[in-house]
Amino acid sequence: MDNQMPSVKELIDRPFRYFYDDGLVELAVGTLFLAAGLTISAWAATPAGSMWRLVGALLLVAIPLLGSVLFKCLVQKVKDHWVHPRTGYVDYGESRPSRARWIVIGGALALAIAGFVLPDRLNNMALGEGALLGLVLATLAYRARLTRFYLLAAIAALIGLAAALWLGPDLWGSAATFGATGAVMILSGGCALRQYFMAHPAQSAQGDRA
Amino acid sequence: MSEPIKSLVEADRIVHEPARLAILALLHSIRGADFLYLQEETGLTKGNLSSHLSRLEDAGYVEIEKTFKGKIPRTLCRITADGRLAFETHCQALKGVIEGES
Repeated sequence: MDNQMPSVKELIDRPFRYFYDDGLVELAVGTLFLAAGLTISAWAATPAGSMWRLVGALLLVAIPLLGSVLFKCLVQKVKDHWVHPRTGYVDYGESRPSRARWIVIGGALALAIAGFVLPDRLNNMALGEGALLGLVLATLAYRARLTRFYLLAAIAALIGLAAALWLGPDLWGSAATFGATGAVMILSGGCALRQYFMAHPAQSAQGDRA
Repeated sequence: MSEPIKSLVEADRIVHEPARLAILALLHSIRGADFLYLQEETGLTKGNLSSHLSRLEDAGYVEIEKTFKGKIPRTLCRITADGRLAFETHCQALKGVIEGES
């Protein structure tokens, strides 16, 4: 065991952290955000009333729905193939409603209300999206005790703020917020995955039978 | 003897041992984990971990299921309701002792 003795609470939270340790979830969610950002920018670039607007709107619904299902399966497959033989398998069971989830829902509601109050010269949508992404990432960082998630949360909030200030009140702000946050998450996930593989080199899979 | 001290003296020795307490803490918030994961997290040797798991299994605090993932054997460990209760009771007793000190 480590020389610095972890608290019991830390041990209870470790399996939750383990899910995010390898960076695969960041890579998947980052790719989804980047795809959403690109779709929004393509949508913003097409003239109103064109067929492409309708296609873009459908894609905006399809990307989060199909993408999350697809990436969930993909992440599971990759974990089964590359992660579990190296550092073990955890069965998380059914996801239970947590206090963190309620904080995120509460934050989203607060942002929606703030959107009506903030001055018109700001792109409230980008500001709200950046803050919401920041809130979700900060909640995850707190729950998983992962410092890089705090950094990602700050970056997402700053991207939202920058987009709100400089890109004006239109869809380009949202596109930049999602696209840039997605790109940063892909970079962060890639670094985490590289670090994970370096720390846990491949070994012959012999199983874990005691 | 004060109530917290009494509860510590009468502590469940199966749970009180640091390695077994760590195993139960790791299994507490999940449905289960395999032997390799517990070994990685606790840093125990295979033999040591196996012996602690056997003690926990004998006490009815952990269930051990030996399965296969493809052709690779997987030993899946799950905390039981009794194990969860024993762990939570023990943590409460320790908390009582620590808070009683101040």
